[in-house]
Amino acid sequence: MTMNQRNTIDLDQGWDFMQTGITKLKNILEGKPEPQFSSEDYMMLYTTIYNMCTQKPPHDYSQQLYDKYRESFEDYVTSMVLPSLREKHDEFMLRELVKRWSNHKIMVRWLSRFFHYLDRYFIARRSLPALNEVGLTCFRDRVYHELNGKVRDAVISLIDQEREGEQIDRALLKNVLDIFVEIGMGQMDYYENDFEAAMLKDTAAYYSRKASNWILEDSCPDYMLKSEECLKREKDRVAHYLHSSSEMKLLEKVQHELLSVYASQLLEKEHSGCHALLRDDKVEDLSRMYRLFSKIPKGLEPVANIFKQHVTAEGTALVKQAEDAASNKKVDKKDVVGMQEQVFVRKVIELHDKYLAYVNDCFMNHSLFHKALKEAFEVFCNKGVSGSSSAELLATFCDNILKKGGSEKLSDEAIEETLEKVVKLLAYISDKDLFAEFYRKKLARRLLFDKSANDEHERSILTKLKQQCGGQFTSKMEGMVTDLTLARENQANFEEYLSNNPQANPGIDLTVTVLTTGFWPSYKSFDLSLPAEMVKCVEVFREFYQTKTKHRKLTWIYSLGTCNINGKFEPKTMELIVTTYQASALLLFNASDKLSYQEIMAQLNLSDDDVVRLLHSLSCAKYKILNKEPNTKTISHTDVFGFNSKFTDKMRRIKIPLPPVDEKKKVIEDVDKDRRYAIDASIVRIMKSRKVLGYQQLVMECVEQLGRMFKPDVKAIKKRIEDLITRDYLERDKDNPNLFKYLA
Amino acid sequence: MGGACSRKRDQQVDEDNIHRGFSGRYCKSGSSKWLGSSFSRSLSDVKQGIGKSPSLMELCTYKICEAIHNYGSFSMLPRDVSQQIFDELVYSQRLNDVILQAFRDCALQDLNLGEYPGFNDSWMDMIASQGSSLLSVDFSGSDVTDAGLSHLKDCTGLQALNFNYCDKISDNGMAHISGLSNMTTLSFRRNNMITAQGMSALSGLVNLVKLDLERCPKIHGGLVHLKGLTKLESLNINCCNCITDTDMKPLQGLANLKALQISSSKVTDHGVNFLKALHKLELLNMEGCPVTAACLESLSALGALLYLNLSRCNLADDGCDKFSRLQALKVLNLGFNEISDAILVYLKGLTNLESLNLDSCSIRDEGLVNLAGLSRLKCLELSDTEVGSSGLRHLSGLGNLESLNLSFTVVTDGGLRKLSGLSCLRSLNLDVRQITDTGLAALTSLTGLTHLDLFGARITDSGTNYLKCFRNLRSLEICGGGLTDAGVKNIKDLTSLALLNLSQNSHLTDKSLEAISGLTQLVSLNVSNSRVTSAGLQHLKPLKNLKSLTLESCKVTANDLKKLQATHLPNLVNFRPE
Amino acid sequence: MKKEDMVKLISADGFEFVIDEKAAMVSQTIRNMLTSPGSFTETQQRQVTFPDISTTILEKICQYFYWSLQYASGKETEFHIEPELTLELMMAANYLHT
Repeated sequence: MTMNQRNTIDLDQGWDFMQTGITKLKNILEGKPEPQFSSEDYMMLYTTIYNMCTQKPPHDYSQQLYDKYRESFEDYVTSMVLPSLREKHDEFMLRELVKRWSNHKIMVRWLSRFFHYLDRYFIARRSLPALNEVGLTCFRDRVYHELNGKVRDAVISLIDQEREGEQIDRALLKNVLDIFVEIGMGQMDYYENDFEAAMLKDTAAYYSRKASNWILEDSCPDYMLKSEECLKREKDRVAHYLHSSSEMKLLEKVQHELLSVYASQLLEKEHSGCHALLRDDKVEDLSRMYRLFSKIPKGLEPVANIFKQHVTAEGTALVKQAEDAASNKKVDKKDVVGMQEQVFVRKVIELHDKYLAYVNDCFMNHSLFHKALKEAFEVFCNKGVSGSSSAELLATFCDNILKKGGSEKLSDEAIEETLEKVVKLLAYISDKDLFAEFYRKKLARRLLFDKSANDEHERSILTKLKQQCGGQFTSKMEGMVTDLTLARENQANFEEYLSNNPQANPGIDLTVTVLTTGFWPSYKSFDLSLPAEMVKCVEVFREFYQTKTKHRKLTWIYSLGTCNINGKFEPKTMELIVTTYQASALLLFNASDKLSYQEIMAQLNLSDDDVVRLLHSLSCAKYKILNKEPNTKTISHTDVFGFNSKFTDKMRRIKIPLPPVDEKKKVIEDVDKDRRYAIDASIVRIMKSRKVLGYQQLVMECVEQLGRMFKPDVKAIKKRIEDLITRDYLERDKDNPNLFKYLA
Repeated sequence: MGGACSRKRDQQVDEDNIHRGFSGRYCKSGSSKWLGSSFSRSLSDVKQGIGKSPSLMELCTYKICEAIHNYGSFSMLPRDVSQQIFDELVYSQRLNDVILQAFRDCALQDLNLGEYPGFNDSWMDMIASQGSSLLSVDFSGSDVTDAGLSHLKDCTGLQALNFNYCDKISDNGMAHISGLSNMTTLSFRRNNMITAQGMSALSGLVNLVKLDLERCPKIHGGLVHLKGLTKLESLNINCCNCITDTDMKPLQGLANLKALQISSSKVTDHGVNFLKALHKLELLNMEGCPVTAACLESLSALGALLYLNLSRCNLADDGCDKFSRLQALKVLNLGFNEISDAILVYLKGLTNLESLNLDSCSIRDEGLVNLAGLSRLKCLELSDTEVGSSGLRHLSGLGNLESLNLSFTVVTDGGLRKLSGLSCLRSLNLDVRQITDTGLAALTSLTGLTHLDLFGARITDSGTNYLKCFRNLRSLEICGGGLTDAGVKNIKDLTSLALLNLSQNSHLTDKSLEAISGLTQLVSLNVSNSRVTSAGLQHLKPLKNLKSLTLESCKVTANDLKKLQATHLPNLVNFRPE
Repeated sequence: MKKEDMVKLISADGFEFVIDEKAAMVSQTIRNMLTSPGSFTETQQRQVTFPDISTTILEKICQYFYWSLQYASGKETEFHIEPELTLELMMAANYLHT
């Protein structure tokens, strides 16, 4: 730069030169024959602006040039761009617009570079709109504002044509819509307000029309097929020419018109709605239903609701079926009723299999449907069949599978699978503790009377229960299984002991199963006064046991014992397999020919119930080992009994069954007691952490905490709270009786 | 590349304080606010990003300024170039009345010479020579007189004029600027001469947008001349104690007014009544005005109001129910009023609130339940209230809270657990005597804290172990007297610390100074009332950023500090004893 | 080095400097010109004449371009400017926006 003063350029002179450049640019844009700008041209134009902006006032023409820059665009737009656009219509107008916008951007790029010096100081100092913005704004204010309505309508009409199946120029639409975006210079307002809003409105109207026809004409599956196809096409539309920000809004509109508006009408279509699809196992349509309704707000709730109703109805039907069968067969033998219940559980399992598959496959594992399934099963699973709770039914079902000679004949794999499913059903049972108690009773019988078919299955179901209900739930059962294994070793040791100490041998074969207190159901102990022969056995075993373990006390449970004794009847001698109770009673007749009921009861030291039961088994049932006077079918306290020496049977060896006492009542009582402790513990645990708590909240938390095992009765909780207050664990607040404080 | 025009001065500092809702003077939590602003200007203006070279324009500018005496005139340069040279000379304080002559007739646009040493009437001639090119002038704090001001008469392009603290300018001078109708911004703070008569000059400035008359004690009656200035958006007459209710009347027609500051004036409820029609008003500062809650009747008409400062007014509980109408409020300052927590129920619905100041009001625990739903709250001032530990549970859900002041409250260690979930908290003031190490232990989850004030808390050496959790701390005050050198060792890893106050811990010795010698980010350090000696000062040599050092009542003399400043701490501007 | 990566700058007195395009683009003015749409293709001469810049100043400018590139890559040396050239150089820098 020379330091010498340049000749001052005046405005007209300088601007004339700029005009030649601008005209040249316009000619190039209009496609007229015109050579490209050379670097000389470019630098001359830049320099002219530079000089005119760096002259001293009053020859600093920055402001004037800034104005003229804008005017150049306005001139061009008014004289060339608008006329050419005004004479064209529809698609031709769109094509022209795309071309004009593209040219305009080129013009802005060139001119803003010629005028660049203005941006650096003049514009920056005054916080004016920059050159680029001025150029683009001109197109927006003059062209866009005049035409955007027309353009919008033309675009929307093309979109509608495409929806009706016509081919349209998607690239053109893409270019036109880019103008709506670019004209916002970073803001989406123009696209959204001038195009998108109307497009969405049109879309809604279009699909509202379509839907109102389809809903009348089409079945639910057909309607859904069409809806899915429409949504796919609209998505495709966005990918090809709409702005990506429109996707959500557009699909929402379509979903609203096609699905939300007609949701209930569609789901409840009489012959093809959701009920019918479930009834007819239309899994593919149900999957589609899920896909569609998962997209609309709260869309899945009614579907899940119908699903729940359907499953509940099917389940309740099973319950009724079982009830009917039970009452029809009641006159017949009891075993058959057991069969019916077995069938019922089996059917419930099948029902669960079927609808769990629906949840997983059709309903994509959605939590809403898991919940519906759970709620449905909870409804009918807790109903119970003919006086038996479902906790008992399930325990019995398991027993049938696991015991020797149960009613189900299944392969190992099938057993595993069935057990797995039973445990799953258990989740729907609210009285899990009751199940545990019944299960333990049945397990004890299987183990003690050697009725368990397979150790592995026993352990396997325990593992499954443990996973489902936690370690506490199964710890006793596991202990029981372990006891049995240890007992076998113990017996071998005992036999070895006897062979090493022949003087100790009582002369009777004795097998003892040692159980750990606490694991097993509670049994009466030391009740029977044992015959002398057996007392000896007990002594021998105690001595043996003390050699092995100190400080352990043996408690004898005679009620679980079995004896094999020889009966010397006149026709022949027979081996009788009886319980220890029965054996003790029979052995009395070695010393006396006749004994009265009272004498027997006194000598055995048993309760009326037990004496009646065992005498009945020996004198009134299939095998009459004892004669009874008078000879009636029932036992009375005045009866007199004598040995029936004439008794015989075609077998050499018979088993005389002693019918078990009905344990159900006792099991339920036991469970109730356990529940009281569980509630106590829960209340104390809650209060310990909270210190002070209102009544309502305490009950709520207690129910929540115990819910995994059973559904506690609120009255029971209230009673436990009172109890804890008298035990000084809790106290009531002096001012607010509904507020409890933790003491201790 | 050096395309920027002239630098713009930041005149917003005072307003920013209002926007934050607290007046800095009374806010103890603001103890470290000055760190950023009040020391000499930073060099960041010139610094370039790493890897970006200085432009050739910049290199030439520096070169010229270095040898400025070789240049007689810049008038042949394009003004954009000479403007850059001028700005650099001002910035580097090289400009004087001789050099100034080189800029005669340069058509400069911006002359930002506020607080510039030596500026007087004789410079005005050169300023005027820029003629109609001149857009903004700032000679605040200078000795310019009415006669000097007369030079500006012909600078008709002038848009911004600032002559704050020019106490030689009077009504007569004002007459000279009455014709500058392009003016949009005018500021003459703390002028003791200008009266209502001089203010009449303002009536010609019809394009005025921003007017700042803070601390002008004689302008009573002058605001009538603003009546026609309908473009006015911001008016600051803070601390003009001559202003009364009648001065408010002319403002009622200024419909574009967005910010009005009348703090420490004599305006009462009656005067506020005139503001009812200012529907665009966003900011109103009435701190220290004798208004009562009755003024809320008028204010509730102001739907756009975002910032309201009623600190130190005559508010009582009665009438405060009208607060519930100010739905848009973001910042509300009610500090130092005779109000109780009974009024908090009326703030419950102000869910846009981001900052609330209740300093020294009668606030107790129960009332705080009404704040529990103000989820946007970032800043809460409860200093010197009756808030105790049980009140803090209502704050535990304010997840956006960034600043909380609990100084001089009755909170105890036990309550601090409630604050442990406030993960956005950056600043916490616990200058509370009953807080101990145990309380500090409950706060270790607040790892984002940058400011922690434990001034009076009874923190001992063992408590300092918990400080290790606050890695981001930039300011820390522990002055409860319980620290020894052993405790200070736990501070040495808080390398972000810029402010550290360990005064009143009378057991600290030179060993403490040694322990903190690695805290090179320190800008301010206070170890007063300790056993520190001049021999310990050597440990402070690495603290090159130190600007303030206070060692009162130690065995250190002013001379020791001066020596340290001269030899090793060139940035030190403030030290005691001095 | 390919020819198209080079640019020829010509001073007022006709002296030619052939420099890397990358260096020339340190000047925003030259960068704007070289990156304008559809211009200065290979068929055109990639050269610019500066009728107002003397050879001495243009040489200094070119030195600055290369210095600037070095500086940006981490080699932060000082750029020497002769006092008598400073004003003229600054005006040229303003013109070239650099």
